[in-house]
Amino acid sequence: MTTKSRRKKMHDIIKKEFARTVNQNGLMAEEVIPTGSYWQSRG
Amino acid sequence: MQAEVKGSLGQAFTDMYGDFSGKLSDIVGMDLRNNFRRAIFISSLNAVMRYLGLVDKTIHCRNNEPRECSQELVKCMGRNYGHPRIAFIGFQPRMVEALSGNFELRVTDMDQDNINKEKFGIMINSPEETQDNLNWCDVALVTGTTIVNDTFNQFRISKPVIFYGITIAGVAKLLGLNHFCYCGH
Repeated sequence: MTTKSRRKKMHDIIKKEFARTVNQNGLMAEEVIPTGSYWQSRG
Repeated sequence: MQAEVKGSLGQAFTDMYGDFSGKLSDIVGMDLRNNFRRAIFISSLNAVMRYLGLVDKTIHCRNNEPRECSQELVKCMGRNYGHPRIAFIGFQPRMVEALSGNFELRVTDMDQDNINKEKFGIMINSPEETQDNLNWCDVALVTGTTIVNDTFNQFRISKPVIFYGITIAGVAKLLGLNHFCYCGH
């Protein structure tokens, strides 16, 4: 498996888990409000 | 970057930031092709996980808290691993300062301003040294921002790996990863 396909596989796993969590809790239609803030520290 | 969902906040560290808007249905299906898109996705994921009470630290620590966190990290590593050789990924100054006085440590970072500079007696290596450092170490301490800059897969190894910081809080919960974040909010 190539690095690119491994990355895509991991993205798919995370997206699937996130979608399941959002769906189970009836949040799909909720708005995400951005702030676009940025900070210098790490983590 | 910071996202708010139903009054709960989630953050993600990134070098590509800006405004965005949309419903969660747009974000869960997002093509995660660059750091900006991954930061939107991860900050939203953290906000949702916070709203649902599945994680409790999604806002970055500040002021003296990174120092306090680093002291707790030293205790945590000693308690759980004795005197391990640590591969530290992503130069976090307070953590490297605290760990360097207590453990054998190798550090890699992506920031050109840090590479080949000595910090707290430790030479900061380039990312090209990461695999060698992972081969050398007993335990890897990895910044959670690897989930945004897409180097995360490199750290799915058979040795103990602990991800630190708030960026990876939600993903760590979803995937059952080891996670350290002492002073997040």
